[in-house]
Amino acid sequence: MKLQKLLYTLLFAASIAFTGCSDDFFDTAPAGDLTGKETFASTTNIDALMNGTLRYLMESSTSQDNPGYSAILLSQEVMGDDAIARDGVYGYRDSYPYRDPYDNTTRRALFFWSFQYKVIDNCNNIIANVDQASGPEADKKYLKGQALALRAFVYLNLVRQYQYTYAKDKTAKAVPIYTEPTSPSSQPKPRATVEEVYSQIIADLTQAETLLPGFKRSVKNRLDINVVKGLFARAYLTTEKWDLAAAKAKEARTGYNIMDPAQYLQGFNDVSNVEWIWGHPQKADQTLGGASFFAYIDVTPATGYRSIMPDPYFRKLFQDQDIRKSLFELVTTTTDPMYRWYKYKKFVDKTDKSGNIVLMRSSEMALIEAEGKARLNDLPGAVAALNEVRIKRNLTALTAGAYNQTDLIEEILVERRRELWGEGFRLPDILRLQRKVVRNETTDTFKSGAADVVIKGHYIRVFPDNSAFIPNSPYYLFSIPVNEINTNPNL
Amino acid sequence: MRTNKQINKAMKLRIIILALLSIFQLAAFAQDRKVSGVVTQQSDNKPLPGVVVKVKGSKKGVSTDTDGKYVITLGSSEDTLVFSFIGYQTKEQVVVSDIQNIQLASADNQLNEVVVVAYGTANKATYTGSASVVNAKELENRQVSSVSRSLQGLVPGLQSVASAGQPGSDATIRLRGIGSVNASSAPLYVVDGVPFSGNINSISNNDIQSVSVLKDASASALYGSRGANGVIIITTKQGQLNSKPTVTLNASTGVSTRAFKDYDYLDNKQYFELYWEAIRNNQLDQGKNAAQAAQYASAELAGALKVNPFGSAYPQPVGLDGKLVPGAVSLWNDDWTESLSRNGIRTQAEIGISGGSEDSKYFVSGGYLDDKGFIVGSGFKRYNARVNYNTKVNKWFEAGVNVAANTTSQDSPPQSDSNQGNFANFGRLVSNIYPVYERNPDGTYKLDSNGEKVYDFGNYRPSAAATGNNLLGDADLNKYSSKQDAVIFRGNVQFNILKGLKLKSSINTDYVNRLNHSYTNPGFGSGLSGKGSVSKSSSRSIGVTVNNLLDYTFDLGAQHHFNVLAGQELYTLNSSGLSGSRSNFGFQGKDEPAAASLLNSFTGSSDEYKLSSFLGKLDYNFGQKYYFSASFRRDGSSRFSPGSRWGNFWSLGASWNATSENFLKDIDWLNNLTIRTSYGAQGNDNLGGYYAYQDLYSIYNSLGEAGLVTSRLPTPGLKWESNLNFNSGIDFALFNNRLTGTFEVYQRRSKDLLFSRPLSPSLGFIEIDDNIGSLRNNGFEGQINIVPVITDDFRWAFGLNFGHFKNKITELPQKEIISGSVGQLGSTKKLVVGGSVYDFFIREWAGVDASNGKPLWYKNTYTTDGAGVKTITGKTTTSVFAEADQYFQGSALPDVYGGVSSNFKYKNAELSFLFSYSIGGKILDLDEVMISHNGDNPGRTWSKDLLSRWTPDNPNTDVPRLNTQATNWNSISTRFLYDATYARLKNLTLSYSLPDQWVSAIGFKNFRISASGENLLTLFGRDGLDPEQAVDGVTFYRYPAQKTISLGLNASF
Repeated sequence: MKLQKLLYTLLFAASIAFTGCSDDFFDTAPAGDLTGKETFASTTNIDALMNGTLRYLMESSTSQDNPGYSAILLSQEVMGDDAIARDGVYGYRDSYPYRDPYDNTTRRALFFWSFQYKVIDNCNNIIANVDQASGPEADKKYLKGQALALRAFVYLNLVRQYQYTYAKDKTAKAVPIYTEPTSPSSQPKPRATVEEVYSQIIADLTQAETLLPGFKRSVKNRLDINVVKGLFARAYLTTEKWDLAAAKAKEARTGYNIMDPAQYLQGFNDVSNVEWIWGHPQKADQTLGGASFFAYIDVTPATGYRSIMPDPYFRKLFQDQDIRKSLFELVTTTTDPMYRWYKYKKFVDKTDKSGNIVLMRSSEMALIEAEGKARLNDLPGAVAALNEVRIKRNLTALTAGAYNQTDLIEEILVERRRELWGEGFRLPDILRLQRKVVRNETTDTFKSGAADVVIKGHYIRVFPDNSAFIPNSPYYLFSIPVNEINTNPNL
Repeated sequence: MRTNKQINKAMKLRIIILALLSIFQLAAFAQDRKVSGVVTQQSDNKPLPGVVVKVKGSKKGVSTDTDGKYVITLGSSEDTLVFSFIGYQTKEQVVVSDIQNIQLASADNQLNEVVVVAYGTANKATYTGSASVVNAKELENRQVSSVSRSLQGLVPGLQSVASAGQPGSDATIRLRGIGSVNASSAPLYVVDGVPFSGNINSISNNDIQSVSVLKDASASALYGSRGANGVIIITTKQGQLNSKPTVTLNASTGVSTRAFKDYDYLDNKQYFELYWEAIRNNQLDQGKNAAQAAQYASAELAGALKVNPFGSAYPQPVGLDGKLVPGAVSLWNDDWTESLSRNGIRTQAEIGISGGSEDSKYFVSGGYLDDKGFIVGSGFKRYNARVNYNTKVNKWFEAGVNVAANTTSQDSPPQSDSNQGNFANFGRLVSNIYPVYERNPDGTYKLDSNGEKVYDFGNYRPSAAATGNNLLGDADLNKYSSKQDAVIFRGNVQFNILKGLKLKSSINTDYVNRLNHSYTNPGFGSGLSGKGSVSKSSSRSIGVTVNNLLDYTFDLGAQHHFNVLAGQELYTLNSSGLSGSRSNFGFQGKDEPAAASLLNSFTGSSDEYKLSSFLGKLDYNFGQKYYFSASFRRDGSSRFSPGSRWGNFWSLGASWNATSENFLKDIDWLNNLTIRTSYGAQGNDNLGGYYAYQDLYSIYNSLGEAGLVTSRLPTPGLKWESNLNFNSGIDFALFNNRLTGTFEVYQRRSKDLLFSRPLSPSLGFIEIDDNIGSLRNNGFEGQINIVPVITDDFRWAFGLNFGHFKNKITELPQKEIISGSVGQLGSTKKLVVGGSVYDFFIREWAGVDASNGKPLWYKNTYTTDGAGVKTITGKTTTSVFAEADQYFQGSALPDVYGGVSSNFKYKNAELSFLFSYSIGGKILDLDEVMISHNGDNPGRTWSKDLLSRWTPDNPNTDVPRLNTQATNWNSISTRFLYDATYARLKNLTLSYSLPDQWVSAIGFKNFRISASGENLLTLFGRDGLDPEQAVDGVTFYRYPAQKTISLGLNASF
């Protein structure tokens, strides 16, 4: 009996010893990942890669003050002149005085660079692999088109963030171009010139334009043919191809009416808005909550960061009947942390903190169209496009004869500031126009009892080295992070 | 492919034959005689229970009972008894009569110990490997809640850093330097013979019989792919054969406080005057003249800080001269750090019962620990129970089981990182200008309807001073709890097949169930905006080890002694967890997810890790003089691809027991001399993840649809990191064992380092896992124990140990790798060939520009030749941090580290202490960085150092001019790099054992009372900073060490 037990034990032991040799024994798989082979097996999975990449663009973050792509939008606002990062609060208080991302050692410098390039690599993976996947040919076409468009979008950002504008010097070194997926043997690339980057952008958009007709998106964060046209318009505007800019802008906004005045007061928080061509919906279970785009720019809640304030001079750009002017509110309650500031209530988060983020609107396209036409001296065409925006903001229509070309261009540029505040256009415009930032101390006051209380405005009016603001200052550019400089000998 | 069946058949036959042979063998005994006696202690003639009495040349053995008595039977050919007991010199006695009384002398000599080593035990004096042992006695007085914290200063070559004061937290342990860069450098824990997959803090110190620390290849190569960073073997207590039940009681209670003084901060008056200056200076920079700037500063000061502790009578508390206006007095002087501290109470009570019959022995214990930390809300509770039982069923079958079950509950409020919720750092975020409780404008407390003070959550405070947060206010309402239930099971059977031949099989499981629950209340503090939040997660992990080992001991002739071990082992670790969080509570006082209305996340995952191993070992000795050992292990791991899954690990060792030689035998003063050496290879597969070769795309669902994003580049050839270890040592015992010591030199070479090689971020990946580079640690270590005085009443023992190593990178895939990134503050290290893993590579502080008060750092100057080649010509200074160059600034690794201990015993009283020390190395004080802003963080606590800031009247200083805009002076630089040399009195214990006559009168065997202190004294050059920080020398706002003073009693009956 005992001997039998002994034998069974030994048999058990021996059998275990040999199960441990087969490859099956070692088969394990991660619960939260797919392998490359699995990912590129079908268009369904590649569509998931597109979806994940868009989320990555909008929601990846390294710290509370870097909420995905919206961190770039907000930085580009506070590095201009119409928005101010409120003193004493977290968020963009180092971008506002041009300390980051100018300083290449900061986390913001690293984040802006690396997350945009990761989006590019994801696009490159889709472009390289989608043709071999199983699935309908149409889906392959649409996926490739979306990836090309997204890649163009990111390169268009990069070329405008890391080098002065095309018109200043198109042979200047901008950023490296990658069009193949990264593999373990990939070598980092040198910086391409501004012109080369734009060529890549135009090539990508041109190919996307042939692939995307017929693509019906179910969520507005996907890049469809209208988005492609809008990106064309932005690219041509910067490269000063006015006719193409105006034409593409017009095509881009086809089907997207400009919203009514009342809708302008609804908080800019929903992709269903008629004039949003491209935007990122959010869901309550995946927003960045207290550190999201809205957490910084929405000044209406009782608590939170509420960092981004309008400059009192910006308020003076509006006529009284302008619906947008009704969004200003002066805080006169002494116990309010925003006491003495104007609040600008353009952006209001949803109650569950899932406010959507706007990426492209027909108003912007109308203004590109107007500017393009004005630059070509088609003043009636320009005024017509401008008026489309004006009348929807409770302003009277302008007549073409009232302005000469220069004044009309100026009026359109001011309209861009009024219309697009908070959407990340101010710094790119300053760079594109090769102008300087203008910040003045406010002298406006309000009455509190008998006393005159000074309203708060720009508190940083010089560069970090105490020099005066100038056009084309390196302080306006994003810095290639020190990590890239250390690891990329080809740069 | 061989079939299992064929192999099983062949084995079956062999086993039957062996079993039959063994039965014949057992019948060979005859003609026995009985010998009995009492074993006593030489010094005081007290009986010694538990002494192992063995018949020389046979396996027979008994142990003495509680009165020191034994009875043993000798065969006709046997005539010598061997008496051994840990802590005493082993004695051999030729039996001359049937009553044989023996006195044992205390060993004071760790060389004679039996040490638990890989897959067995060994005699320390002849062991070829390097192993240090810590015994129960050295652990019993320690008032720490994890055994990992009690090894510091006790084991030469062991660097232990208890980097957090949180009760129940483990120390980081490094053995003989740094073996890896990216893979883990932590040693493998083995509990009762089997690699442990639980939390080491679940094992009570009082259950531990011994801790063996295996340091070289000979000692740890049998653990193969997991042995590269050394092995710590914990062996729990066992009963003793033939002993009456003994009950041991341990109880202690004490008080914990902060171990050392915090930094000095500015008071409210100083704070306001300095912040005024910061605002004024900024206005000057914006182009205003002095009068305008001063006026602006006076007007805006209270508004900028959002508080006015000087009351509404002084709306502009600082005048145009920058001084507090006459008459203004701060209406409150609160202290945030103080208010978040308390006297923590630590209570521990344990009971153990052990005993044994002729063929079975047992140890049963139960314990309770409640360790409350000095930081409000922190604590650790443990209930533990254990049953260790071994039985010899018959001559050929033995079985044993160790079962330990415990449940722990840890309350650990956030305590590292710069996060606002960090309890340890909160007082360094929120300046004392802000009141802890709400105040009326006249400074009196605001009271609620019950007349109670109301916590001030400071929604008005600037971000830098934790807006809307009062950790004290919601400490009682919020929850940061993690509970853990663990069952450690060790079951083994042993078949004694033939004389000397055993088959040992064991099945072992480490089961751990964790439940984390953190809750932020909806009513106050940080939870306010989301109406509270709760996250709850549960995870279960089970590690199973099954092994079968054949162990054969035999002699060839009189001089050749062999021991062969061969076997196989399987290990699987399965962990699975789920977690979810919800927010938006409708009610106060309900903290479960059921009460929250908004689902934020729900997720779950599982992982599996498998290891299959074959191992063998040969020990040989010639005439008990020359010892050789060889071991081999082959491991296959699921972490790597099929092509590079299997690895081979091995060791060779030899030792020479010189005192066994005839020519040394007669030297009286030399009790032992052993020289040994070993060489071998071990591995390290612990690079964190379990799927280290595939190209992976993370599932990253979005907006309710499937989502993916690139996460990892493929590395199909990735394999083990291997360690080649050379060790050579000498052990000696002199002057009747009153001077004993060990000295060892070693070289550890790690190659094929598992490395996260940095990539250019523009490639879309910041790193790729790779086997690249190699490292070398050369070092020596030693230990000396002396008993300078020994009389009938007084005994003084003294011990010193030390370790030294140099860590050197010998090969890298690229010229240099920047590493050691600290949160948001940037990198701190650079790896280059010839340097070490922990060489600081940071900017060099050049002081403050006396002309304008700007901070200065060094940068290189260059000349460029015709070909465009730049040559460094020297250094200059810059006030732009980003322009400054980084330079090597010394290593975080100490030159020498170790411990000093001493024990004084006078009659029944005993005083002992243990100092641990570390000499050399640098420490980067990032805690100081937090409180050293130049005015860019309004409301944040300010160090007293700021009083010496630059002003036109004080141009020569190392604190720059104040400004509300950041100047980067508190970024990482040598400004905050200090010498890390320190010593700490880890333990001081005074105890008194009641005299025997009193004790026996109440029916006890032993009754001892003690007073003990942990971390009573810290000798360190910096105030405020805890010198015990992470091995890499970088601090990160951690829970500082705590001091515990307690009273204890220890009794047995």
